[in-house]
Amino acid sequence: MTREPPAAPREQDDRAGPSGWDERAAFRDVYERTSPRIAAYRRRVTGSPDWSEDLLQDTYVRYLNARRPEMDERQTVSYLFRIATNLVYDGWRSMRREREWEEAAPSAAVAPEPVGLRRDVEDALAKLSARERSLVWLAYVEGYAHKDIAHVLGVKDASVRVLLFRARRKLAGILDEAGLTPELLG
Amino acid sequence: MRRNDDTDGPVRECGREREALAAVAAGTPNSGLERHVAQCAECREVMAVSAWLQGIAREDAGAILPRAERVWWRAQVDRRLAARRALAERAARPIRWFERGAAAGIAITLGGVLWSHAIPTAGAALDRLSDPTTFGTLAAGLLALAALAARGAVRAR
Repeated sequence: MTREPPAAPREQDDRAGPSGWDERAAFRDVYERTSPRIAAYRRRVTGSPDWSEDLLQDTYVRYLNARRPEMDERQTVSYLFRIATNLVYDGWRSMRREREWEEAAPSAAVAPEPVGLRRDVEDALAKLSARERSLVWLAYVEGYAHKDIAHVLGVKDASVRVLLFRARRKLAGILDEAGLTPELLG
Repeated sequence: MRRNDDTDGPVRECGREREALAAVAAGTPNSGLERHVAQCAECREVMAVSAWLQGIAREDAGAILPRAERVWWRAQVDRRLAARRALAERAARPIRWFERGAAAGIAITLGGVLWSHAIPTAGAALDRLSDPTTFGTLAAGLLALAALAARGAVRAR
């Protein structure tokens, strides 16, 4: 998973003048600060660690190769969340495999098998649709306001309010049914 | 608390939801908020859902991710491949125009031959069309033209 990248092609080395090195260093900085958040989001929305690693790389490749405006830290993260979301949905649409994917997701978890409460929460999340998972993650882990979520998901602000309420209610119901009360967290 | 009954179910919100969310993140609800949460079902729900999700997010924080250098390298390769594809596309453009021109030339020639052979005069044309051999030749010619045009359209895409 953390293999060294293959040696870069010769032309790249020629191309990497002072500005190339600056760009590379700037990217490393952005990547190191944001990738854990983007990775967690992707993993929870896709429900599969295997898919999410590829998709994580795709997100940053698209970010690097896009003509993007000047952005501050908050806008950059939001932009990355948006790319990640689009890639997930595009992947599902183009491969027409959402159902297969969702069915395969629990068994696809070849990385450390989640145990106990964590597995129960993952099962509860898996019962939500991808959009509902995006909504609750952005709202309750990232702490995004409705307008930011609307920007990431490409929906109207007013819709976020309704969709988020329903997604939260659904997840709370599933957690409750599974006996996962906040007291268990200690 | 705000209610909105214009959707499938009533949407209920509390003005202190963000405060409740922040308290979960910080792990320290103040006593005022605790009292409120005890009476507010919405905030209780927000806190329960946030607590579980933030719990698994904390565990995800230790995940091993691809190194930045690897992602950077992949982006460079993708960029170069895209540039190469664009170059190949530009290089193939004259060939495509030549093919289209050739197809049009063949179509015009074929049409001319058909016209001179099968329809020497307008009056005779009607007579000749009733002849199965002439009609067959004309139909075959038109089919060939249509096939050439379709091929040209497909290749142009």
